This record gives sequence, C-alpha cells and structure tokens, in this order.
Amino acid sequence: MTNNQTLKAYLLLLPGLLPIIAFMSLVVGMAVSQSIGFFNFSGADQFSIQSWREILSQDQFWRAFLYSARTATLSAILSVLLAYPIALWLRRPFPGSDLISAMIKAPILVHGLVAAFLFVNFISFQGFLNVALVNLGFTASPMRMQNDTYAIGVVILQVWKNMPFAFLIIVGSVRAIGDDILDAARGLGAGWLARLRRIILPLTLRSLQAALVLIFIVAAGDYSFQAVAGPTSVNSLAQFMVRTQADNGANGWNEAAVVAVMLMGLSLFGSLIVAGLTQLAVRRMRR
Amino acid sequence: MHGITSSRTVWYRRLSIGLALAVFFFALALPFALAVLWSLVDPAHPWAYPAVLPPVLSLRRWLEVWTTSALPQALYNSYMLAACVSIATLLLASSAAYALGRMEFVGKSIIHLLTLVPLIIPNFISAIFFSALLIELDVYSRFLGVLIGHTVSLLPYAIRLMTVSFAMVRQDLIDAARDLGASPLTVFRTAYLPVIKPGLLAALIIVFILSIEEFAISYIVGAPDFITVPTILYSYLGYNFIRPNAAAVSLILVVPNVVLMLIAERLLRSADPAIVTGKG
Amino acid sequence: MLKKVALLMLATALPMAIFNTKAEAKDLSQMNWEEIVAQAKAEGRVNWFHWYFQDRFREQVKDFEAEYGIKVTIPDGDGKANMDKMLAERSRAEGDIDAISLGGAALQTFKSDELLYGPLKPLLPEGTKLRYAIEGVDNKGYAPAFWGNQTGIAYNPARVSADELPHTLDEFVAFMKKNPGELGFNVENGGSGPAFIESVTRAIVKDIDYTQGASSPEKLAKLAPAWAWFKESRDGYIITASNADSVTRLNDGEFKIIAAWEDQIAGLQRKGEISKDIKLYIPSFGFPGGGNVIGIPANAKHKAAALVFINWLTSAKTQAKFAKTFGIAPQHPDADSSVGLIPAADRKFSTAWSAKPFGDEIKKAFTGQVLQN
Repeated sequence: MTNNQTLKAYLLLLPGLLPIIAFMSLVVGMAVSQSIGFFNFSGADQFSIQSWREILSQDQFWRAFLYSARTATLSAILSVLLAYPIALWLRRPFPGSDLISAMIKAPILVHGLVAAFLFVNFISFQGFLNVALVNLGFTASPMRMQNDTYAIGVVILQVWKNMPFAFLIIVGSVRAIGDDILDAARGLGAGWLARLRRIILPLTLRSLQAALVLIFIVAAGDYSFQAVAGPTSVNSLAQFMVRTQADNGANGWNEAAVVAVMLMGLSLFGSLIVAGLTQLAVRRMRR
Repeated sequence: MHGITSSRTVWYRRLSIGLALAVFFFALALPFALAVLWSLVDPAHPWAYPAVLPPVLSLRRWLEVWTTSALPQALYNSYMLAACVSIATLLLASSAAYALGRMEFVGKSIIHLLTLVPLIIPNFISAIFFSALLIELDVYSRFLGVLIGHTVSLLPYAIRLMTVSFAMVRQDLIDAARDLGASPLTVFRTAYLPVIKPGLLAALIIVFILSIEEFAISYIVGAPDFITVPTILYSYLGYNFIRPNAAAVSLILVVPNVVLMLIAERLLRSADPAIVTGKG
Repeated sequence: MLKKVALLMLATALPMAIFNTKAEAKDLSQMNWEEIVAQAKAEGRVNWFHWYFQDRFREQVKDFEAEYGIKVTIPDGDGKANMDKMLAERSRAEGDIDAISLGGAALQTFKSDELLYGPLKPLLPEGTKLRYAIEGVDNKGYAPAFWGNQTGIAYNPARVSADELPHTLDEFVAFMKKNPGELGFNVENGGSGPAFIESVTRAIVKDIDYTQGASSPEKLAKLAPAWAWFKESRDGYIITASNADSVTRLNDGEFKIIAAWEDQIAGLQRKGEISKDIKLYIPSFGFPGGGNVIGIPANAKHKAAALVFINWLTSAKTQAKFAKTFGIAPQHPDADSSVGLIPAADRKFSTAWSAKPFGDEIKKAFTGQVLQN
C-alpha cells in the first residue's frame, strides 16, 4: 500500500462519496441550523432557542417522542424474537426449507403503504376478520380495530415488514457457525439451551445488534404505517414533524427542525441503547 | 428406534411447513385476494353495509382508474425517474465500488461506514430539509429535486452491491490477461465483466425498484404536482380514500416490482442476501 | 445514451417551457373576448391546481377540451401543498400554476392583489354576475366562486332511524351516551370534522366574535368549556382519518352518524361508490357552509387559457351540471339551484365558517386540548 495508491483510491471514491457527504451534511446542517434560527423563511437569521423552547414545552411533542421510542423498541425486539428461532430452524437446509425462506422474504416485495392498506382492509369493520369472527360466533357484533389506541396495528405492520430483514441478517451469521463447534459442545454434554446461551447467541450477537439497530431506526422514523393504521390520538415523530411544518406557517420550518434533530437523536441513541442492552443480556446469559 | 425418530422428525417437519403455509396464507395471500376482490367491485354498485359480498363484480373499475386518475402520469413519472436514478446511481457508484472492492487504502473502514449514512437518517428528515434546501436555492424543478434525492439516498445500495461484485473478481485472471498482453478494455471484458455483470444488473434493478417505491422524498419534494405511484396511493389511502380504487392502485404498485425483484434475486443468488436490506 | 437521458430528463422537468415563451405580447385587459379566446387557443393548455375529486374533474373538463381544444392538466396535489407551491414560486418569472382552486376564506390570510392576476371580474364576460364574497371574505373580484358546499351530519338509515337523530347539543350528549362509538368525525385531512368541532364550540362558547380572524392566547383560552364538553363525551365519538374515511365507514355500517360534506356524499352517491340511502341534515345549532374560489397566479404562464377555462367553469351551464353531478350549490345566478341532499328546511341552519386564522386555531386547539391530551 503506497501513498500513491491511497490517493488514487480517494479520487475513485469521489463521485460516489461526495454526493452522499454533501447531501447529508447539507440536509442535517439545514435541520440543525433552522432549529436554532438560521435559514429562516420568515424574518432575519438570528441565533435563537425560541423554537426549542416552544417544542420542548409541548406535551404533544413528548407524547410523540415516547410513542415513537416505544413502537420502535417493541418492533425491533419483536421482529428479532420472531426471526431468531426461524433462522435457527432453517440453519441447515431440509426439504421444503427453500419454500419457507421464500415465504418469509415475501413481505420485502410488498410496499409499506400497500401492506398498511391490506392490513386496514383486513381488520376494518366490514373486513374479512370481522365477518369471519361474527359468522363463526366469536363475537356478536364486529369489533372496531382500525387505528387502535395502543398502536397494536402499527407494531404488527412493523414486525410483518421488518421481520424478513432481521431474518436475512441473522440467518447468515447462524449458518456461519461451524457444525464442529456445536458438535464439540454436544460432545461435552451441553444441552440445547446451554448451546444457545454459550455458543450460538454470543457468535450471532453482531448480527442480532445489526438487525435491532436497523429496525429501530426504520420504525422510529415511520410515517406511512402511522398515517394509515396508527392511532389518531397521538402522532409519530415523523408525522408530528410534517404536521408542525405544515401547520405553523413560516415558523413551522424552525419548529419542525427541532423535531427533526430530536428524531435523529432518538434514532442514534435509542438504537445504540437497544444494541448495548442486548450485548449486556447476552453476556450475562453466557455465564 | 432410529426409524421412529426419523419418522417423527418428518412428521414434525410436515407440521411446521403446514403451519408456515397457514401463516403465509393469512398474512399475505388472503389480504391480497381481498384487495383483488375489492378492486373488482363494480363502480355503479357499492359494496355497502349489510352486504357481506360485493353485489356486482366487473373490470370497469380498472378501466376507470386507468382513464380518470393520474395513474398513467404517475406510472410514467415513476418509471422514468427510476430509470434516470438507477443510471445516475450506477455511474456515480461504480468507481467508488471499484476502490472499495479492489484497493487497500487508509481509512477504508471509515469510508465504508460513511457510504451508509443515508440509511440511518430517517427518510422524512432528508425529505423535509432537502425541500427546504431547494427552496433556499430557488430550485423549482420537482423532477430534478426528486432525482437528486433518490440518487443520493440509493447510492449506498449500489455501492454496497457493486463492491461485493468487484471484490469477487479474481486477481489471477486479471494478471493472466495482462500477461498475455491484453489491452485494458480486453482485461475489463474478459476478467471483470463476466464476474461483475450479475451484481451490476442486480444493483440496477434494486435501485430501480427502491426508487419506484420511495415515498418520503417523492411525497415531500415532489408535492404537489410531481406524482409517483406511492404518492397517488397515499392520497387514495388518505384524503381521497376510496377503498376499491386504493386496491387497484396497490396491485399496480406491487405486481411489476415483484417480477423485477424475482429477477434481481436470481441474479444475486451467488451474492450475500443481507445486502438487499434496509428499506422502509 | 447519456445525451438521450439528459434530453429525456429535460423534457420531463420542463414539460411546456418550450411553448409560449413569446406569449402575452399584449395585456389581456386590452383585448376583447374573441381575442382572448384566440390567445387561449394559441396557448393550448392550462394547469389547474385543484385538491379534491381530481379524477372526476378530469372527466368533466373533457367538455371544455372538446369545445376549445385547450388541454387541461389537473395534478393530484393537496390544497396545502398547492398553496405552498404558489407561495414558493411567487418570485419566479413564470410559475407552473395557471389556475388554482382555493377555499373561500383562504384569501383572507394573504394579499390577493400581490399573488393573483386580475381582478378577473372585468375580464370575464359574465364577471359581474359571479360571486366574489364567500365565507365572509370579499376577494375584490380576483377569484370567482365556482363551488358552493355545506357541512352537516350524515346518517345511515340502515343503522339509525330519522327520529333518533340528535339536533341539539343536549341531544348529541344523550345520543353519544346511548350509542357510544357511533359518531365519527375526522380532525386531519378535510374540513367536515373540523366543521363539527367548530359548530359545537360556537354553540358552547358564545361570547367570542367568530367573524374576527385575529387569534390570541386569551381568545383561545375562552374555548375551554367546549374542550370540557368534548372530553366528557370522549367515549361517545371516534376520530377518523379523513373526510373520506368517515364516509367509507358510515357506508360500511360502522357508524350511525358522521360529520360530512354534502357535496362529497352526493358526489360519491351519484357515482355509485356509496349507498344511495345515506342522508344528510343540519343540526339546529348550525353547521358551517361556504365554497371554493378559483384564481390565476400573477406569474401564470397561460393566463388567457386560464381565463377562458374559468369562464367555462363558472358558466351557468357548467354550474348546473355540477349541481346535478356533485350536488353542489351552483355559483352562477342563472344555473338551476341546488338539487342537494339536505332538506330545504334545514338550510336556515347554515352558518359562515369562523374567520381565519382563528378558525384554524380552533382545530389545532382541539388536537392539543382534547385529542392528544
């Protein structure tokens, strides 16, 4: 490796990397500077924490923040909890395992909005589920499940859509565990639980964390599922940001920027915390 | 003894496959079947309470959605945009992918992480503040705005997929071709192209699909007049909610992409499947 | 290949930039109507930014396209996005919008003479017959009304009989107690739910002048009794996702009554999307009604075509047809009067919308004080 080659490599990287760095720093920079009063669309640019004070003092904002944090955590954990056993089950191919893994991956091909529509259609008052429940005699009258207050619908959709990603990430690392290690453990008399705790979990920790982080970020920034299937009594952060921008005239930009910065913070720290706790849990189990 | 265990294993396996099929049926096949049913509700005969099944089925709804909605325009916009985005992305990504896949240099792992940054910024944040940036810069062309937004946010996928392809090219083949006195073009054609071609095509298709499916940037930056298939679907699910029309648009959005994705998967079979992740 | 792509990109990005760069050699006010029509035909197209029933209007404007040979494009944007676009393009020499539909009161919040071309009143052949004061706002001839509409309570006779329907506030309280979760209205995505919120607010808080648009924290604080009313009946009603969601779920049999637009119900019924049995009435404490206007942005590219289009849109013939197809209140004096759904005796309960921006603050306060609290 010479300096010359490094220079050449960086030159080659430029066309791909420059747009990413420029775009992202401009966008994030725009959000941060608008949140503190620069690039104003109304009035002069001036440093001000007015928008921060305005947003952080709103109950609605904190409800949205906690709501997004909660759905993101739940979605990430549930997706991984569901994907993990399936990945273990499909570790070694057997007749029919290809079919199953194709079925698991199918939701990747379905657009989020389409999924939300299919779901709402399925659970609506006159939808299939209600018609079935009533006709089978489980309930006397249809149940109202659309836009439920506890966001069960949103979490179901998140898990439905993100479980395949978790599966893809985890299955690779599960397959990479050598049979020899597992056989050796079995030879030493380790039961399946011990093998899971002592060998499989620690060896797949990285992919577990990757899946959790990815799903947490996607779910924390969710707009479409929330808009179509979410509760009407609370906004997700992304929805709150869009609404803040739209409803408050020229000041809306600055206040939306505050929400954006908080959402980025949630994505970053929230996903790190979830990943960190997983690491801790796995370490503890190993003992 | 041995025979009993294996027959039990087979039985277990059958049971679990059956269970998986049942879950698949309720989670995917049935909802789609219902969407098809809704899209066939005749426009003149509403499916209203207390009817359990639609009174009249016809294909007229499809015809009507096609002739009166902005769907043809949205399809044109979506596919046109996706074509431009995938070409632009590939052009920008290829040299970076070459460097990441075939060269050693200082700070490679950091660069690798940097290319993934667009994936960790929530889509709606990029969309809103990119639109603020466009206002600030007096850029009025919605097409250009969405094109730039899509290209940058999909670059990571193209770089990642093509990096893997470039890394798979065998150095001994390149050296052999060089030793035989081949020109750079011939080296590229004989040693590189056969190996990177599937990855290249897969990247092209995946970026194409992701661009068609992208909602946040198209919705925020494209508003109000640059519409794509997801934005039209969003309007049919929200302000202009008419369930049968939404069903028809949903199917139009899903079916072509499924076909394209299956092709991409075939191309990628040799590559790492975990690359194709991370869209919302 | 690249060149081709670049060309194609350009073609999509600037759809009509090539046409009519030399247009408007002469100001429209110097021309007579024949000259304007000739100019309009030369322009050949008009981009109408309109926010509802776009698909239905694409059908309706076919008559216009056939008559004048002028192509009408109706993008699918929502009302807010359309308005934002007009504001954002204000400083551009030529904008993309040729004609824009606006809520009757929208022109209260900005200066029509800076943003809009006109006034159109003297330019339109029937300009003096048309209506420019709507929803308590007089736009001084810049934007004629082309759509009159009314909000009210829609009910599904398959679920509820006419004599069970609530007409006063007390009857609403009793209805919700007896039928929890059978009243639906939206807060976002459309004005029917906000109309209900506003009506209840006005019926409860009477010492506010709702014709004054100015908003202040003190004025908003006075609305507290209304929010207490909504909170007390929180189990009685369901918040829906949009105007259309309310209607769909009424049609599905999920609700007995909803807040709705008369024109939306009528339009969907005449199309066959929802049951023809659904009916509408106005409770005696009053529901707001108003209408929409259409104007030409000051920097419109196809002004003559837009003018000819507005003339067609507001004509007695078109308005009569809209009344029949959509159930609107026609806005041309010579058009057959409304064939709407609301009983004639209820029309006297129609009120004007609260003046903006205070009217918008009522909805926002509902979200903050009741819905997300």
